[in-house]
Parts: sequence; C-alpha cells; structure tokens
Amino acid sequence: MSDNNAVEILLVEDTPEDLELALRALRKANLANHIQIARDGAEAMEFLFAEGAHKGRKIENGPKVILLDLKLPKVDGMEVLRRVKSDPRTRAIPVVVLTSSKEQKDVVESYQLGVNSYIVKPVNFERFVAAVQDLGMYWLLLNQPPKLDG
Amino acid sequence: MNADRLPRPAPYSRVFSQIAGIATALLGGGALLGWWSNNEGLKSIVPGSSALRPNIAVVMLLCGGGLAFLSLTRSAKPARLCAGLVGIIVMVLGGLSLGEHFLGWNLEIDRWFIGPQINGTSRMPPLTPTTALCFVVMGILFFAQSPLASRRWSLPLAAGLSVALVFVGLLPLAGLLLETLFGRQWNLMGMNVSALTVSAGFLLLGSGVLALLQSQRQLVWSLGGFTTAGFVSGILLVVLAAAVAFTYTKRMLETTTWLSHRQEVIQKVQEVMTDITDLISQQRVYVILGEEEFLNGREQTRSEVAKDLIDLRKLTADNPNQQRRLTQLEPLIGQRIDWDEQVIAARRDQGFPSAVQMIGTRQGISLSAEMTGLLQEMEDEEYRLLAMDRKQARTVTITAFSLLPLGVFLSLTILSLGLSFLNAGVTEQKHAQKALRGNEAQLQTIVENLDEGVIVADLDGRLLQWNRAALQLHGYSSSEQDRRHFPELVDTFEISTLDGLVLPVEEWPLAQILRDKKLHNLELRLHRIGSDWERIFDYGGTLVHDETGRPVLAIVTVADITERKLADERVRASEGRYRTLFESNPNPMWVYDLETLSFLAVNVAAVRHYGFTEKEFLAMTLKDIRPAEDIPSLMDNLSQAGSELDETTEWRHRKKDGGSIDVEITSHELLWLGRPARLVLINDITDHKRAEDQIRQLNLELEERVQHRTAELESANKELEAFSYSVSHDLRSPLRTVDGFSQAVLEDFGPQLPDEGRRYLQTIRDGAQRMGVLIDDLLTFSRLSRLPLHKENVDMGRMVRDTFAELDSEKQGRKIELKIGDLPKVHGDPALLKQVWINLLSNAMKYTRKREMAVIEVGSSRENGAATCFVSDNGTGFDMQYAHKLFGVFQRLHRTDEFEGTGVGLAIVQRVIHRHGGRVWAEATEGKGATFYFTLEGAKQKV
Repeated sequence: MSDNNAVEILLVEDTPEDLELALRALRKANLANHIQIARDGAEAMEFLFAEGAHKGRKIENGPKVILLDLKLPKVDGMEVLRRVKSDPRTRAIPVVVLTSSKEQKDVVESYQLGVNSYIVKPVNFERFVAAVQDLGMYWLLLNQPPKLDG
Repeated sequence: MNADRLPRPAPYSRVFSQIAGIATALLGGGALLGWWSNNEGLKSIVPGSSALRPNIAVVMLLCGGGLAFLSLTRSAKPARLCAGLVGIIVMVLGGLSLGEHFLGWNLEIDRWFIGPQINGTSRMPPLTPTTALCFVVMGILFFAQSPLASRRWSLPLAAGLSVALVFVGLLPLAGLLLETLFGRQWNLMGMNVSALTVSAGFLLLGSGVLALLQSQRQLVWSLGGFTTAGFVSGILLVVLAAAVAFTYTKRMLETTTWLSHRQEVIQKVQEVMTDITDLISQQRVYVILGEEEFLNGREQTRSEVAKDLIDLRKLTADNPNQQRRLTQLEPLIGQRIDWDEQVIAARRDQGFPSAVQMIGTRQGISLSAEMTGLLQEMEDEEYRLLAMDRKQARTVTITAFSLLPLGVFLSLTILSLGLSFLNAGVTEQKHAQKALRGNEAQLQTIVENLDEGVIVADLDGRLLQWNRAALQLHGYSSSEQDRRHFPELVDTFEISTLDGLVLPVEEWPLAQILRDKKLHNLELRLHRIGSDWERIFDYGGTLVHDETGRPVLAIVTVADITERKLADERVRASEGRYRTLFESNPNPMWVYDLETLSFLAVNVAAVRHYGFTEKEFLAMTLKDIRPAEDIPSLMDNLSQAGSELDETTEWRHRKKDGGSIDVEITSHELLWLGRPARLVLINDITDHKRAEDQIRQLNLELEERVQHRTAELESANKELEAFSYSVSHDLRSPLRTVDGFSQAVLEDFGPQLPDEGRRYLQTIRDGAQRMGVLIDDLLTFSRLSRLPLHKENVDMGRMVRDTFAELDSEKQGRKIELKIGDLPKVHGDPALLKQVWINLLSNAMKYTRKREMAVIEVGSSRENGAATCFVSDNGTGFDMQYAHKLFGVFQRLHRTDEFEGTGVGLAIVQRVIHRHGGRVWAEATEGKGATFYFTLEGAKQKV
C-alpha cells in the first residue's frame, strides 16, 4: 500500500452498527487502510465521480473495490450500482453487494447491472467477517499492481 | 332459304355462249383469211361495212375461241388456263394500241398479222382509243376467268366488264338505227356502218360471257336497294351524257348553218355591187358610142338587183345594223339607176354633149361613192361576224368531240360499277345454296345417307320413297320393295305410346301429318306384331308445299332413340335414388346457380325450415335470403370463392317470416344441368350460437371477476413482498448487531468477564442466530407462495443424489446408508423441488441421529397413473395421532433441545407439493421410523 492517496475500498453502509462491525472485520483482515466510508448513496456517488466535497479528486485513483449495501437512504445501492456500471470511467471497478437481502429480485437485478459479487450478510457475525475477509482479499489481490508486491 | 326466288337453270345460256364464241371466232378468222387472200368481201364480213382490221380480227378470233372453249368444256381447268392466256395477249394488244394512240409509238400492229400482203395499201392508222380500251377490257374479262384470278373478284369483274362490252357493241348499232329512222343528225355518237363488224364482235363476246356466267350459275340477279340505286344512277348518267352530247352536237350544227348564212350574205352584197357596176358601165359605153345594143339586158339586171336587195333584207333580218344600211342603200341605188336613166335619155334625146354635161355635174359619181361605201360596210360587217362565228364553231366542235368519248367512258364505268354491286350480292352462302339446289341428285344422295330415316308419302298416304336408314330402322332389307307399303305396315306393326297405349291407325304419325299437323319429337313405341321386336322412335314430319302453297308431299322422319331412352331410364332411376337423398335429407339443402345466384333446387327440409314454398324459392336468388347488410360480404365471398373444395362457413339467413337465423354452410361446387352451381347443406346453429354467446358472456364475466380478484391478490402480494423485503433487511440488521457486538465483547473483553457472563453472552448470540434462521425460513416459506413456478423437466434421481451430497453438516461423524430406488422424471420447478428434497433428506438425517446406522430409502411407486415418491428412515418416527399437525407452520412434534428446528421445513415441503398440484402425507411408527410420501401431478414414471 505504497500510494497513500489511493483509496483501496469504498464501503457504503448506512447502519452504524453494521458499519462498525464491517470495519472491525476489515481491520481484523488487515484491510482497514485506505477505506473510504460513505453513509448513503449520494455520498458514495460524490466520492466516486469527484463531485461536491470530493471535487478535485482524480476519478482514476480508485477505489479498487466497492462494498455496497443495497438499502441506503437518499440514493439506494441499486442506483449507485447502475451509475457505476454505466459510466466508462468507473465501469472497471469491482462492486461487491453486501446486503441482508436474499430477495431474488435484488440478486437478479444486481447481476443484470453487472455486479461482480453478491454477499448476503449473515446474522452470524463470524461468518460475516469470514465472508468480508475472503471477498476483500480476493478483489484486492486481483487488482494489485505488480510494483506494489512485497 | 327461299327457293322461289332463285332462277331456274337455263341450259340455253351455255348454248348461246357457245354459239357466240364460235360466231366471233368465225368473224375474226374470216376477216383474217380475207386479208391473207386479199378478198375484200371476207375482210369486211358485213356488207357495206369497212374492212375489219387485222388487229381486231386476231383479237376476235382469240376471244371467240376462248369463249367457245370455256363454254364447251364447262370451264374445265385447261379452258380456264387458256382463257387466262387469251386475256393476257388481248390486254397487251390493247395496251400497245393505246400506246400508239397516246404516246405516238409507231408499231403498225396490223402488219404483224398479215405481213407483206398489205403492200401497196396506204399506211394504216392506229386503232381508235375506244377500240383499244375495249381490248384491254376484254383482256381483263378473260383473265378473270383464269384460275389465277381470285374468285371473290373475278365474278363481279367479269359480269361488269361483259355488260360494258355489250353496251359498247350496242352503241353504234343504236346510232345506226337512229340515223336510219330520224336522219343523220340523230347519230349522236358519230358511229357509222364501217364500225358495224367490230360492234357485232363486241356484242357477241360480251353477251356470250354473260351467258357463260349465267350457265355456271354464278350470276344471280339480286335487286337490293344499293344495286338498284347504282344501276339507276348509272342509267341516269348515261342519259345525261347523251343529253349533253346531243346539245353540243346540235350547237355545232347550228354554228355550221350560221357560217354558210354569212357567206351567202357576203355573196349577195358582192352580187349587188357587181350588178350596179355593170349598170353604170353600160350607161358609160352607151354615152360614148350611142349604140342601143349596149343597153340590152339592162332591165333584167335591174330586177336582179331588186331581188338581191330583198334577199339581203331577209338574210340580215336578225341584224339591225345591216337593215339600217339596207334602208339607206335602197333609195341610193334607186336614185343612181334613175340618174343613169336620165343620162341615157339625155344622150338619146339631146346628144353626147348634153350627156357629157350631165356627167360633168358628178352627181352620179357622188351617188356611186356613197352607195359603194355602204355596201363595203355591209360586207365588212359580215366578214367580221363570220370570223367570230368561225371561232365559236371551233370551240363548240372541240368541246363536243372531247365530251363524247368522256361521256361514253363515264357511263361505261358507272355501269360496270353498278354491275359489280349487283354481283357482290352473290355471297358464299348463295353459292352453297345454289350448289345444294343445283344438283337434285346430290340432294337425293344426302337424304339417302342420312342417319335419320326419311319416308316420303303422297297426300293419299301412299308411301313413295324410303331412305336406307328408314328401311333399316323398320327391319327391312333394301330388296323388300313391295313390303313397305302402308297396308303392309299396318299389318306388321303396332304403334303405341311410351305408356303402352296402342294407337289406332288414324293416329299414326303419317296420318297426323296428313291432317297438316307438324310433328316434332313425337316419341312412340313401334312393335312388330307377333314378335318381341320393339323399338322406341322419335317421329317428326311435315307436309311439303309447292310455290303456290299447295301441299304436295308428306315427309316423315324417324330416329331410333331406344338406347337413349333406356339410358335415360337408368339415369332417372339413379337420379331418383340421389334425389331421395337430397329430398329427404333432414338438413335444409339447395343448389344455386353460381352466376345468377338463383336457386335451382331446394329440398323439403329447406321449405319447412325457411317457410318459403319450393316455387317461391325457385323464383328467388341467394341474395333474397340474406339480410341486406350481409349482401356485400356475400358478393365478396362469392368473388373469392371458386375453389372446388368443400368449405364450412357461418352466415345469417332470413326466413320467410322475417326472422333471422344463424347457419353453418357446407357447400360444394358441381355442374347442375350443365350450369356451374353450388350444392349447399345448411345447419341451423341459432340455438347453438345462442348458447355459445351465453357461455362467452359468462366467461367474460368470470374473466372480469378473475381479473378483479387477481388484481386484489397482486396488490396483497405486493404488500407482502414489501413486508418480507423489509423483514429480510430491517429485521435481520438488529439481530446482526446483537450477535456481532456480543461476539466483539466475547473476543475483546472475554477474559475479563466471569464465566457466567460469557455464558449469557453466548445465549444472547444463540437466540439472535436462531431468530435469524427463523426469519430466513419464514421468508423462504412466504417466497414459495409468491413466486411463479418455472417448470422444466427434472430428473428426480439425480436431484436426490446431488442434494444428498450437498448435505454435509448432518453427515459428519455418522454412518448413513442411502438407498435410492427408481425415481421418475417430472415436470416441475427445479429450485422448489430441490428445497423439497433438502428438507425431507435433512429431516430424515436429523431424526436418525440417534441410530448407530441410519438407513434412508428413497424411491417411487406408481399408483393410479401418478408417481408417488417417498423418503423413509429408521429414525425416531412420531405418533400418528399428531400426523395432521406435521405440515403446519411452526408445528413441531419434538422439543428443540431434542431435535432443533423451526417447524417450517415440512410446511415448505407441503407448500411446494401443493403448488405442483400434488399431495404429501406421512406414515410413522414411534421409535421405528417414518415415511414421507408425495405425488406430483403429471409425474412420469422413469422406467
């Protein structure tokens, strides 16, 4: 993680408890550095497309992966996903939907929009942590540039 | 066919044409002989006529010979070829002569034929144009007889031209006749006896050809309106031409008279002058010599002068100028003569000197001068008039001479045209008629060979003639001459009607005909008495009348129609059968004409059903039984139709009482009595249709209700969906918080907590997790009810094996024997069926947990055509009295601490099976095991 400015993970989560648990899980997996947190869909989009508070940020600089809750205030997760996958500048960013919903409708729609992975948050926190760790590692490793190795 | 109007054949016409031909040939030949032998009598033939020119003689010989050949051989082909040749030669001769006349060629055609014998004779002038033209005409006339000429044109052409020839031949004869009767000025055409031989030749040839045509029966006088008009106008034109020619000739004669008149006047004036000069000379001589003898004859001269003056006054009576001059002249002459007398008296009485003295007064000279001047004036005037008259005479003469041939030619042309018209009336049909009538033998042959029998009888009923067919039909041979007389027939045959009613002899066909009844298609049975010979004849016949309308003969015609009758009867019998099928068909049927759409036949059922009588039906068309608004589509349908396929369509029909019925039509095209028609079978579907409408109405209402209910259900479903969505997100979130933070506490602060505290936290976590499972199960359960089924073919055996392999958690550390028997392939939702197997298999594994060796058997059996699958185990089983609770939601038969679970699994199984239209049930013995059965509708047995 040599580039300090580069955001590795954008975590979009509105429930503070879930957010805390998620961060805890990421931390435990040593993935807590360079996490950008968005508390709703609008905030996530401002960050992603370098608007509002994030004006001036280089869109190209990340994140490397987006962990996205579907049930969000203002702009819901599905809309964020649609925007990310329809913009050529952000289309390449892997998106992992992290949600409590097992609803078929949500799953189908997410995949139609081009989601890369779909994780149902289990009630059992240990499993949640394991899932987050597995997913985060996978995507980060996959996207790791060679020079950063080591 | 009007036999009376056709002329009877005239055999003498051919004889005439033969005679005419030979005579003309003799005429020409004789003249030619005359030229060769230098015999003047032969040359001219007709006494008093001038010699026949060799040129003309040759033409006469050729044409006469040709005509004779044609008429003697009945226009056989060689004769017609010969005629064509003659025609060409004569045409060429005529053409050359015309050339001589108009183009100035110097051919001297005459010399070609007589050679040197003519030596010494003065050069012969060319033929007159009229004669040359006649040659051309004759040439064409003969050429028209050749096989080369089209028959369509040759006849009118030949007829017209020969009439023209006759006309030309007649003209000089008429002129001569008029001259002989009324004097020279009546010979209008200027013809003279010298042309008599030529005229006779033309006349003979023309009439000969006409007679030939007549004898060939090609010439028919048909006086239609057009031909008559043409003929009359032709004659009028001839008369007109004659009148004009007459007027001009008369004027020419008058002018000639005038010319001699003027000359007479001039002569008289000169005589007067001479006489007066004589008188003066006598006086002078007497004065000089004084001898009385010089005065002799003076009185006579004086009287001649007086006479001449009177003549002059008469001659110039029409000229006032001359009269005036005469009036002046007469006293002058008187005075002059008196003066002379005075001078003579003075000489005689007083002697020379006194006479000289008197002369010296010059009184006489001045009188003379005045007198001579007047006479000179008169003479000058007459000369002037003479010159004028001469000029006029020349004009008139020229006009008259140019008008005459023109008029003649015009008349000839018109006459030819009229005759062409006349003969154009001879159509092909008339030729055929003539050919038919011309040869009675031919007619006889035709009658003899007719297939129909013909018997001719006289008015007394005596049978005169039978043709061959008639004999054969009656069973006679042609040698049985005398047997076919009436008495014999009456004894041999019996005639009856087709119904078997025997006719008395006075009702036999011939007897009926003799009563002037025209028979037509009278069908009777002829039976030979005493045998089984019997035929059915079709009799016809009529009386034949002569020109005056008097009946002369009776003709009976006989045709054998026995076979046809028998065939008809057979057809009728088979028709009868089919008619029965048609007539007694319980459904209305009809046949209609495809073109007029009118009904051709209807059956009893149609009459009964529609209320129209059969007669009314047959007077109607298809349109009349259709409601007016359906007619356009009917016409459309008919114009499209034409396929011969049977088709079934629905229409509305109108009944007589005005009611409208719905019908189903099956129709088929056929030929009905030779007309393209359509056979129609009608099926009244009014009631059926009404019932259908009711059903449709009910269905419609039902559908509305279903839609309404569906909408309600859908809205309820939506609410439920929103609810479960909310549950899955929002209800699980706090549980995760409870579980997650309990975990965090245990991990981060576990060592600081007493054991009791850690156990409590663990209990909190268990509770939270169980609630999570409960929520998941509930959501699954509700989703099963909501989601639509996605059915496909499912191999149950495979699904069971896969499912079992996936169920790892229960298998750990256990011995489980799974027996999989035959399982069907079914049609169902694979995801839901998988859930069924998961639940049933995991149940079986769960409740066999306490067994050393778990035995789970999966299989199927077929009952009543439906496959029943089962899962049996050797587990704890259950008490059957609670079996009814087994499939309820949250219903459990075991305590949680014994066997964990939410009580949703079997409820899910039941829901899925029910949604597939199947049934699920269980059988168990407590402590021994349980078997769960289910069926799926439409399940197919695998083996």
